Amino acid sequence: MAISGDEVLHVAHLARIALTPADVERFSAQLSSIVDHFAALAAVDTEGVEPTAHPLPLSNVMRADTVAPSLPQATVLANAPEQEDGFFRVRAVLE
Amino acid sequence: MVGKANMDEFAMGSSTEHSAFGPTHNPWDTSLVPGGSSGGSAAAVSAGECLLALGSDTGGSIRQPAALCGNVGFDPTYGRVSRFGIIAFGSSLDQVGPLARDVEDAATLLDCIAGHDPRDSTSNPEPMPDLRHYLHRDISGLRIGIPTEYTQGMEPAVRDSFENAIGIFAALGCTIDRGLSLPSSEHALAVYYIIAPSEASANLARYDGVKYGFSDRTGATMWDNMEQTRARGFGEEVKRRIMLGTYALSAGYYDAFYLKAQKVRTLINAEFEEAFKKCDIILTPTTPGPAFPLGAKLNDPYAMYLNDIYTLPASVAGLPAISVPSGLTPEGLPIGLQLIGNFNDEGRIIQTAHAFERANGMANELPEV
Repeated sequence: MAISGDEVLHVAHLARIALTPADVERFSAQLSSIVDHFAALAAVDTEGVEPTAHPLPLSNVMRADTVAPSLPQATVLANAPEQEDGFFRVRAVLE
Repeated sequence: MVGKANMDEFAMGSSTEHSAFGPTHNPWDTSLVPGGSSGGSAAAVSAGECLLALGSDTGGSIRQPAALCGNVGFDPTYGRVSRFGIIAFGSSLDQVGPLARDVEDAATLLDCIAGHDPRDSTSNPEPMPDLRHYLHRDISGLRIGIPTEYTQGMEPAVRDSFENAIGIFAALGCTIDRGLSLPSSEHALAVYYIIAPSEASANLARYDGVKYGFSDRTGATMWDNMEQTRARGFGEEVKRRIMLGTYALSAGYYDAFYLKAQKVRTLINAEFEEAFKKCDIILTPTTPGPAFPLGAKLNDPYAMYLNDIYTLPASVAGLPAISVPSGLTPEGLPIGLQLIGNFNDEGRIIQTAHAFERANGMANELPEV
């Protein structure tokens, strides 16, 4: 199954990874080859089979609804590349 | 504490060559890889640089390097060891476990680190038995299953060592069932390389250069900065897997890849459940071959993935599995034996692996460094 250069660019956009034209060509070939090996899955009969998301039969793991200390704002911001007024700073998203 | 060990970037790799710090070499032959992703841990133990090391195992990253470096590596039942503070890769697969020179050391370290942790929401609630209690025990009458399907790519030296190991278990009084069938296990590689990259693509979305870590701030817009941060900050294999996972989760492919893989995962798990009604331990080689040369599989991602073909099924099912040294190739390279147990049955794995280790007499064999 061939994954075209356009599809690679689409996926890279979804994943927010900038690619060079050489990257696109390489990933197109490599991802196509890897996905080819997955083709046998299509032939497996999974009619009526429930999907497994997780190996343990756990559900709704919750703690008691009591107030506990949360991370101090200064700690959360400690590794930020840029910060301002207690917020993470990024380039303007809106014009 | 001796230090932090080298590993494949974000635990993605089977050779420790995908490390930003450069590759780790195998102490048994420095022209070879140590396996991966926890290759630095395995190499440090077998080079005698430390007594014990920790590794993480998502699809074989403790067991495979342990096999290639001649030490013991134990991937416990899903959720046994807290992942609090660890960078998530494949959240339904990630495990922490010990690498050690022998089974007793591995059991002792796992005893120390296992247990429920409320800070890890998928922590295993079952109490862990005292594993040291299972050392020095008889294993006669134990039922060992040999799956007929685990033969792909197996090299002759691995085959010989595996047959020798089966003979040792028979001599120890175990019953050997060579007819065990786990037909869906042949799909474990495809299932794993869809599910793990899909989970990774979501987990690694947090590396956007805004909150922490590497950040490229040279672009004109926030999106430019994010795309450049991720292009420059992630290595080749990590980008490949994020792309693969994003593709498998994207509109139009979700049902055919991600959902299909989750359904086949159900089939793999069900076959293991049936198998453990008939046997106590499932025996396979850990890897199809011994350590391979540096660079040999670096440009062929799928060939690299195939090195995990025997370790992936237990990972997909969340079952505990250990790798213990079983012998050496004619060239003197270590070969690993994998023992897979039922959920929360680490005690039986330790009991069986320790009995094998004593009978086989290969524990604590270290290379000349």
